[in-house]
Amino acid sequence: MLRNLLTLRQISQKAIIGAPRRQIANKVKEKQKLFQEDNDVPVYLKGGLWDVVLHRFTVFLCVFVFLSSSLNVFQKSDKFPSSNFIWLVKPRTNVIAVP
Amino acid sequence: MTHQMHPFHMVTPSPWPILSAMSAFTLVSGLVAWMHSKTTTLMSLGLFTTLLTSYQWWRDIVREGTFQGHHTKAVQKGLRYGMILFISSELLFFFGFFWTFFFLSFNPTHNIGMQWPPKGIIPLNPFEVPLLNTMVLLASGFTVTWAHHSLMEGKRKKTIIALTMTIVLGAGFTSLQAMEYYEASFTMSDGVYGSTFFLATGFHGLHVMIGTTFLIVCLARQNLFHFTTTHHFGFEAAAWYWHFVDMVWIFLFTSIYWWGS
Repeated sequence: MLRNLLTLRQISQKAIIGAPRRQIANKVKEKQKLFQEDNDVPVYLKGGLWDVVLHRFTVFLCVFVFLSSSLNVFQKSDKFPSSNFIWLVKPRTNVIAVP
Repeated sequence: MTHQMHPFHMVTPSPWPILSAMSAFTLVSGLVAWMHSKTTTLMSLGLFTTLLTSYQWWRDIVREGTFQGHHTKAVQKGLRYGMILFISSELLFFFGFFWTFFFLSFNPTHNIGMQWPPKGIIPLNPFEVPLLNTMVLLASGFTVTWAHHSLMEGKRKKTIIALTMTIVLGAGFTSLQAMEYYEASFTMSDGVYGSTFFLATGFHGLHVMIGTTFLIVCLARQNLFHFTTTHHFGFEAAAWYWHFVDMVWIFLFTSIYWWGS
């Protein structure tokens, strides 16, 4: 029983140590060279084409959703012109409740 | 190329502050729209754009620090102060919910039967899953400290193992808590007990998810050789946040789960 357990331990250790390991290369030096290049490109675009694509997509989407949500909020307010523009010319007076 | 004669970081213009503000506005107004009209489009778009802007903003900070060398000791000191102030603000956020809980539980009204837990509420047994969750988070506090010490000693593999274990424990907590939510006999609509329970534990759960995400980012950066033995503030900030989340749970467990049952 003990011999079986010891054999199992040896096999599992060999399996872990002997298995091909995915090595991640240290690319920090390359990245430092890329991002320290004196080319007047801002840091949010300095990574390459993917940066530019993602930036443009983000700007477009953010502006679009912001305008949509602003319209949504504006529509729910009492200032939204439904059929007339009377609220533009009629002076607003503060109504104070009389007890 | 000009050289600066001071150790501070003069940040260059960036589109992310204004864009993330627009995204946050969309997210919250989408949240309101969801409450009023059951449509989730605006909120989902707001969440997506918030994630996009956050990712790119933090990506740029990593570039400025790790690749461009802007994070000098002076800059790091500022970042430390910033993180401490942020965590303090989160503490005050939870303080409000604890105040609510203690006010309601120390002054139970006739509506709820002048008792706590209120009449009709069957609270969760604190010594089942909640106690297990406590052990899980305490263990994760230990593993994140182990990861930090391994990082400071230059032991790359041990750092990765310990950090992975922390993340697994954090994800385990979230899963267990989700199961508890499903099994609970009461909901958020069940009076003040339900409201305080789910608001406090719900926000805590959200913070656990945020902390787990932060740790996952640290794991990715550790794998990519971003951290050195003496310069790894991103990791320290994540560890501080994780310990804060752990402490909030200890307070939640002892007050809401244990004393409150």
